[in-house]
Amino acid sequence: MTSELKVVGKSIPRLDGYDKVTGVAKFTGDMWQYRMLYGKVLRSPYAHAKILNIDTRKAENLEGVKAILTHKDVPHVLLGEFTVDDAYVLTDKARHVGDEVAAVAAESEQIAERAIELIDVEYEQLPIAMTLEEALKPGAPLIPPAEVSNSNLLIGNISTMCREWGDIENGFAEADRVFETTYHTAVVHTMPMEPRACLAYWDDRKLTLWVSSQSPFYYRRLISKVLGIPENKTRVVSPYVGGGFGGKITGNGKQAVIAALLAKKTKRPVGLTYTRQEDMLSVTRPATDIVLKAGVKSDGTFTALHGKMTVAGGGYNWNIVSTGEQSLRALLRCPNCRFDGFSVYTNHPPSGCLRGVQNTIMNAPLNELIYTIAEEMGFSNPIDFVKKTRIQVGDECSADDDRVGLVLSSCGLDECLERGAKAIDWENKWKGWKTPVEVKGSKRVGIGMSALTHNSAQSFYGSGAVVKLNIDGTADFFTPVTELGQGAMTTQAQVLSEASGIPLEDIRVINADTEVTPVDIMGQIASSSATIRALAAQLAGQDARRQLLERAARELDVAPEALDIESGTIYVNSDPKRKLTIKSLMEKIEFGVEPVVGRSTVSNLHWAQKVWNYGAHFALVEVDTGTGIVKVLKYVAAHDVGKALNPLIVEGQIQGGVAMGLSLTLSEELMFGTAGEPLNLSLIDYHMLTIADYPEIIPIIVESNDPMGAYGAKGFAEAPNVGVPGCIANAIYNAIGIRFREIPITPEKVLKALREVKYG
Amino acid sequence: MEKELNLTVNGKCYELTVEPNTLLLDIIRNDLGLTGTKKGCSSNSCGVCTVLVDDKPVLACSILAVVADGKEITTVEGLAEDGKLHPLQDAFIEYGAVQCGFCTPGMLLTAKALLDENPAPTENDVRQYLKGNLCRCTGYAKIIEAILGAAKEIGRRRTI
Repeated sequence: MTSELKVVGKSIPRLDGYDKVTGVAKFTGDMWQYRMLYGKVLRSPYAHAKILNIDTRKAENLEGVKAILTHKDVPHVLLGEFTVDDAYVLTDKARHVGDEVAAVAAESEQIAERAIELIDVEYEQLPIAMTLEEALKPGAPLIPPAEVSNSNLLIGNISTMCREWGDIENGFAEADRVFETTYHTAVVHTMPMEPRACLAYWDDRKLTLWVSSQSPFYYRRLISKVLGIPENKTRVVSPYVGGGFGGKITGNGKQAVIAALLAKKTKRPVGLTYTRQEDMLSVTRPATDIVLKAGVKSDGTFTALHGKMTVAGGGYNWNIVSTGEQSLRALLRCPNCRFDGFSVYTNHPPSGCLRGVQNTIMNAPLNELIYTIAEEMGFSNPIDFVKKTRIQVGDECSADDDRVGLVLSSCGLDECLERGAKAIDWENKWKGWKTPVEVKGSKRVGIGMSALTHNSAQSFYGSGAVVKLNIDGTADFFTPVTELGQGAMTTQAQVLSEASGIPLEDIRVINADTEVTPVDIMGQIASSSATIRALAAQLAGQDARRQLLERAARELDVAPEALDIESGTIYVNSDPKRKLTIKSLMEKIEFGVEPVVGRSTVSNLHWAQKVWNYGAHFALVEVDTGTGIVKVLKYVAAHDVGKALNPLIVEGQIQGGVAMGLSLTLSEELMFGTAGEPLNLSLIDYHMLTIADYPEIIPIIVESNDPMGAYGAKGFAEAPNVGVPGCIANAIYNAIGIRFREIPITPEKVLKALREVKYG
Repeated sequence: MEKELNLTVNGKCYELTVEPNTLLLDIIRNDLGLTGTKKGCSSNSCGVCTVLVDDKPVLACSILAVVADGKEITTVEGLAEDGKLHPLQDAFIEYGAVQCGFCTPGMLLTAKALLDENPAPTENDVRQYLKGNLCRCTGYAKIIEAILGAAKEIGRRRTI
């Protein structure tokens, strides 16, 4: 079956490539409309402050200022992004430096900036909480509004998410040994190259919003609710998006509503594009603390896994802490698991998602424990241990407690381990636990690995697709996918072409526009596109194909089952000379042939958490014990993607995800001063790794052909980021025998730790 | 205090009147409508606004328009000739060097300057020359392959 595929599985250059290499591609911030005004937001300079008074008179009198909004002018409706509804569009109490206090629309950017400076705000500073301790101690300042913290969602500053599978107490009671570790991460940013942007436009009938968001349908719901207008009068379009990585599913809501309100008030289009600094203040991945405990039998069998994760969630708490349970649930075979997630409000910028969300953070301490337990239990290397203890197809694997009984549909982890080990030359490089590969003067080379799993779409996603055949045989393909870099437009079109028989070059993709595509609940999140939206494309394609064959069968006077389609030509299987092209068939519409519209709707309610992607990462690192600098020499990432819909695109996702993970592991941290002020709010000071810092990153594609996905595909593009922190920490441990339980692992920290050690 | 300004952009001459504090990037994007040149940080640190000024890569967010008076500017819209893509553009598509595409215009122009200076760069030459251009999507691997591939293709065409 797989060998017969003609379009799926081919490294077809991406369909949006031409637009993007010629400058034709329009991103939200590139758009302009006749009489467009420029929006600008006034932000709080304080981390926690009550607004006593706002005087806008001077700004109103500035020529060219068309509208000013403060908290008094916006709907008193709470909005939230995926988790708790905890925000007002403009606030009367700032909860972080950069919180939105007022907004202006003016004839030019310069006038809008000047107007912002002319607004006088009288603040009363409040006590702040910048650590978990400060936010959790008795008498801690209450950060969310009272109407939220008094609801059943929160207790004071805390929201809680606890789940248990099996019986954790029994699990530990059955264990021969119990192991425990801790882990800590810094505040980091997704840092897409495009800062978020928005353009709002009202006509008499409706609101149109162009938003650089991963989830146009999600934002339509949010905006429609806050503004009190029906969804069919709210059109949200995501044009080309300049990277998302989870950061553009949260943190766009206030911006979109501000732009919409300014446009409504002025009756003119309003563009609102954030600066890099504003974008960095809009959403972050929060600082996180983990305590992870494992119970094992003396042969290494797991009896219990208990993870406790506490997130310093910022002034607006949109991080999905529950994703931290995934590694516990679907990587190893363990009947008794428990996850305790705590999301705590602090006075940091809002917290949201970042590629792999909290699973990326849980995976690292889990891989430390895998190493520790394997070594203590007498295994000669971690690979054999993972192979022995990993989850098996058919094991119960659902993470949601209302989804008990779902069992794992496919797992390519062994092949990832084997091919990855071969590519890094594990056999010759691995000299044993804590034994470096090589020591050259002050430089010690280590080898490490990690195993990982991540979701292929979270639960409760509905989506759909429509394909409309035109009279000349071309097709318009309506899909909700957003093109933010992963190549979803291309892979969707490949799947549609394969399923329908319509040649790829005849398909035009019309996407991410709530006015024209089928409804899609969550949007481009949780590695869902290659799973649920690819399935929607496949089913819509099959529907179109069925209709084409039915109509052609009448023209050719055979049964539809006797026909096949290749390269846009429909022919009789037993007599291929009897044929007609899709074009000539569709031209017969004026002679009574019905139009062809293929459609599908899908839900993954009953199978979402059967499908997990797997991976194994391997790294060679060189630690300079004189400088503390960790240099990654070579990185291998093997990923079970079910089926690579487009191997070129899959490789790009692996390399990009690993690169992001390396930068987060070794370099990135958004730092804050004692008053809660960000200290390095620029790309230079934040310091992402550059092209000159990266090693060779070797992608390996493993195909387990999942029975649930389109042509066997599983969504996986978050996963390459998930395995990195654990893999690098294990490689460093191999090189210098020191365990780092926090990221980023900077030269400063390495040097400090090395002071305690003497090598013989 | 407006200033007269003469620019040649992608072979076309423009006479403009600008405020002296106007940045070259704003002229290119707002006045000329060439939005292929992106705005990413406005602080000289991400490279998405890279254009060529007299064939040298320059960050358009960090120079005043008046400094470019009388000079020749190339933006991503000017890379193709007579509707035919530059070998770098072809290679970026073919090797999968494009993902979200926001850094792509700047990458292409910096890469063009590199290949104009050094027609046969090593991988390390590429890494050193492009370190001012950030990309969050690709991990750079396919960008490097594309630039080395384009260099070979340009060399091959020269020898024919």
